[in-house]
Amino acid sequence: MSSSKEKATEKYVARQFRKSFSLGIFFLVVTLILPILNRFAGGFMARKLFGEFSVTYVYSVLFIYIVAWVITIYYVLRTDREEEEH
Amino acid sequence: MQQPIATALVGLIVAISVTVAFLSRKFARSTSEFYVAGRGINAIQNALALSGDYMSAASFLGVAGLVWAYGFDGIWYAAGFFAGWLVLLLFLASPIRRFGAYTIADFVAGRFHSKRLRIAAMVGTLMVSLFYIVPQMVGAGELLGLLLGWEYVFAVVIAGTLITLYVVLGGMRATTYDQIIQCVLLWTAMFVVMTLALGKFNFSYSELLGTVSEYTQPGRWLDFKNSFALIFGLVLGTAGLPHILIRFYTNPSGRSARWTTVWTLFIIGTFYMMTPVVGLAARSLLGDTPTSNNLVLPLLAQFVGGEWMIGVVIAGAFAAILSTVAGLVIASTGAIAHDLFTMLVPGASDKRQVMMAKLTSVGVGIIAILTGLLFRGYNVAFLVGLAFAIAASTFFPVLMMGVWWKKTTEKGALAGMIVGMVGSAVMITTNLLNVHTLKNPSIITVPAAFIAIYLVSKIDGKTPHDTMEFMHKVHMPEKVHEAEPE
Repeated sequence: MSSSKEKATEKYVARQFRKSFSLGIFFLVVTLILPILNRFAGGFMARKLFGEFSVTYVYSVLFIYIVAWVITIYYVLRTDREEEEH
Repeated sequence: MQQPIATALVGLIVAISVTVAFLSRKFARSTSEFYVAGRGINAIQNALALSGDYMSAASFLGVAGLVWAYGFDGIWYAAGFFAGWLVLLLFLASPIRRFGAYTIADFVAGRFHSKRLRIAAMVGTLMVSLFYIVPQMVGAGELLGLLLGWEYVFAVVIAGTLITLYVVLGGMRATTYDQIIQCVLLWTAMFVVMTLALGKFNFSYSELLGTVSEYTQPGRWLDFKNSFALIFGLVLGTAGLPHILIRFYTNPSGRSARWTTVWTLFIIGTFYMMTPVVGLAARSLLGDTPTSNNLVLPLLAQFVGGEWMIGVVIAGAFAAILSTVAGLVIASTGAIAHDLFTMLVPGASDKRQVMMAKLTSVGVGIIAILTGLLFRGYNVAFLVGLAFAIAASTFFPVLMMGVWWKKTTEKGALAGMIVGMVGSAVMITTNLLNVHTLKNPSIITVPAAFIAIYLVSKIDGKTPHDTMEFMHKVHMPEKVHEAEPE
């Protein structure tokens, strides 16, 4: 492989990794913080947000899903665009 | 026969599955057709099939059962099974597709040019797949017992035989069509039960929660350490499941692999959002009456909708089981017939390979039936969680490092796979034997595997000569490849 092609590949891979890694770490924090909050902020997490829905319940059955969907759409649209422009 | 209407509905589903497998038999003549359906399946079809493949007895019966038994702590499983897909999308979906191989073993062997890595990947694939099949057999046995009053052993044998039959008949193309039908069915069944159950609470989710408020708080089963470890293992495990990863090879391009994942995230996301509702409704409406937590959902269906509903739910559960086991059998068949056979008999004809694949399917089916008999009485979602732990430890680190870190060496990859595989197997066994209390080992074994790959690669330093070609192939858009002369 020519060194210019190699450089271009490396640059592209690094850029893709930065994008995936930052989104991935963000999402891991969003999911893994829930058991931590339940453990160390139990009182707050047990508070009712609306009706009979507590903070921790809404977080686990709704919030995680919405965050994942938003990240998914953002990532796929951005990657499609990057591939078009490349 | 205890429930004629329900039995007829289940029979209908089984008949449809077998017919589809039979009709698509003519497509399953070459090896590429058998394993990956000739790569001609579009994103939505593939998403439906992937969801059918992924959502097994664990998702359909197990999660509701755990929520019924332990409340909030069961919901971890729903969130974890869902969340893992994002990791898969961000890091592995399009590179795996662009590399274009049939099995994980192909992938690691292609990246590192190593026979022993191929064997390690094959062993790992078999281990994960078997751990995953066992709970499906447990679920199938309990369901048939409930439906027909059959003895558990007899029920497992019948279910296992049927599943094996249609994989052998049709290969991956048949299972793709079957999985699409089964996915629609199981999603709809869950939706109908949820709606009927909510009807008992004036269609108010909040009112339902009010009747079981002590079950909506964490801590009835898992302590902090175990809930953290569980969610960690589930989130990283999805990206290491052989039967899911091989499905990405059926996408025509990296771009379509990504869109497949988007659709999958919507299908399974909406499904997993429903599971806590039915689990908690079962707690509220049935109390302590269910005798097995794997049967909570069908019993709830019977309570809210009578015999028709229990039929729909058991049919849905069978759809979940059939589609998942078919996918798993394909994955483990790929491991033996493709990875091992082509290595032992280089240049075997296509026809012999297909024959070998079919024979292997039968063998895997028989082992699956026997292991199903052994694990009677375990919660199916808990068991599948263990398969996730092995997948997360064995495959996720090596795939991540192989795909993204150009300095990974063959020895590093091998060290990581062995540390992950042996480590998780030992920790799971010792937990089941009550040596320690950590139910899901990935929190220790995944980082250990990553460290092993890093350190051994650093010391070894011998990166494969074509690493940059590999990086170019799996990361650059299709457009770039098309513009280049081969």
